[in-house]
Amino acid sequence: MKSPPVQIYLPIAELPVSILLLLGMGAAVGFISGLFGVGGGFLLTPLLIFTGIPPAVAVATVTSQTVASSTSGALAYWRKQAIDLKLASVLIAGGVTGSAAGVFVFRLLRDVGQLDLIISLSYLTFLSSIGFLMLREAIRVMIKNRDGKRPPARMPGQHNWILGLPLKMKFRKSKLYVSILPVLGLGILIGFMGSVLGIGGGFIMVPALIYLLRVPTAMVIGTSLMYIVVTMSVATVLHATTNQTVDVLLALSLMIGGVFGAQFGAQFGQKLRGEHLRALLGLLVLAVGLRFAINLILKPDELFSYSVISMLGGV
Amino acid sequence: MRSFLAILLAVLVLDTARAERIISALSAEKVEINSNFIGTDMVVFGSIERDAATVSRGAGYDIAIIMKGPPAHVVTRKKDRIFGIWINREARSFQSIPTFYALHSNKLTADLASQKLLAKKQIGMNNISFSLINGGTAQQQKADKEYIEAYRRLKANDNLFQVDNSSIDFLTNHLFKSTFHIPAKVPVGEYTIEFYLFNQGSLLAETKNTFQVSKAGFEQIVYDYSRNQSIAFGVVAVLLALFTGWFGGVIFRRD
Repeated sequence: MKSPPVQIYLPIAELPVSILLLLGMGAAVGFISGLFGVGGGFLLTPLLIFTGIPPAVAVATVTSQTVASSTSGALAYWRKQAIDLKLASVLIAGGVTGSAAGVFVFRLLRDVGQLDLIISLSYLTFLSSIGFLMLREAIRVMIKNRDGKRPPARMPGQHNWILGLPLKMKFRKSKLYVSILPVLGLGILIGFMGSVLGIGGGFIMVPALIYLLRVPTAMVIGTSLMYIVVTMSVATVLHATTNQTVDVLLALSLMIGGVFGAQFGAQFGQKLRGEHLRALLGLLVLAVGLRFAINLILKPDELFSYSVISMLGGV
Repeated sequence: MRSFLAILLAVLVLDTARAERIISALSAEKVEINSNFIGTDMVVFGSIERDAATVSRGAGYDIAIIMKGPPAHVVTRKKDRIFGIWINREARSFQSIPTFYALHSNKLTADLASQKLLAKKQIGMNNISFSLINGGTAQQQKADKEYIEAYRRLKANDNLFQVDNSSIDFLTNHLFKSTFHIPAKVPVGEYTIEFYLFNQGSLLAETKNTFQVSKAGFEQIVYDYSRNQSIAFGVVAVLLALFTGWFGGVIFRRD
């Protein structure tokens, strides 16, 4: 049975896609992002690529979708004054630099025909390792809970050489006095990965702020969301100017699905325990990573691919 | 002006020298890609005009109609296994290859005319000429064969290269039509339709027609905007995202 799907022609991707599929994917990823409190770009970009959207369009478009999915959260934390603006500014300074470099590298890889490979490889290594770490941490907590022991809240007084680097700066709101080098570095790294891979990077930023920089938990999510909104906005404009692959119609379809999905996800998430949530998220992240691994390792059905270098004749 | 007249004169002379000619017409002058575009059909008509002096032909007429998309420089890449993973390695770049090619005829391509003539007119998928952008020796060109075949195969899979050897409808002895299917993933630009009239292997007449495939309405505006005003386009995309995110938060606000 093949019912006629409601097709929509994407002006930048230059192909028709079922609008129901896009809304559905947006909603599913939105649900997951609401459930786990993550942006969901790391799922959406691969899903779009597996659907047949050109990777260049998928990455650039999800960059703008990430802005939408982080905005309402950032505003909510803004109202609660749970954002360390000074910390966010330093992170953003790094983020903008990183994403500018990322968009440039993206263009370069596209020209030499290795963009797909780098995206696959990065997703593979990156998602598998993060997924594995998340899963391990969550299972540890679960085992400890079963044994009746409480996990230690935080290891106090542990020295961290990273924070002792020169160029120290005071972040009053987070009650921190740390070197700005690791803060900038973190911003650059996530901004770079974000614009090459089409992810907001919240799921790396949050643990990095907590465990690496020791930012108080109350400030972490708001600051991270603020960082994502600004950095990914800049990345979107850069992608639009450098690669011209931001498809607004695709982005809008995904955003609409995502906004709704996120609400149900958030409600559902309140019924689950934290470590169970993290274990599930870990499994999910791992699964996406493995999917890339399979694509890279198994012999593909078609070894060849083609792309247009330049169109002749006026368009 | 003088050269124009000279050409006109030459055409007229050539025309009168020929016994037959083809008058052609298309069902549409342009194909517009709207947001609900899922491909379309293009019907082409042809009429074989004969002057009084034309001898009657035995064995009837054979027709080949070729629809060609705008040409492009293309690169074909081949994956190879390196350290256990499959990555793009070798590549060949070809110049000025049609991005769309459909051949309709009333009999098998090879039966229309001699291979030499078919190759000269690039009639048939195997007769599309591929030449490397950076030249290359004969030895290399042999190795390029698999890249050329891959390009044809990939295009055919997407319905962007088509051959149909039984798709000419003769309405009368001299009037024929054929319906081309233009798939959704079609490249935009100027398309040409070439008509060839054969009789027992010799080319009697040929003519050419063009039409445009272009984005229209919203699709056109978005696409043009993304190319010509790319900074503003990026800013609009960001504003759209900020608004949607904010609006979603307002609708579902619980605090």
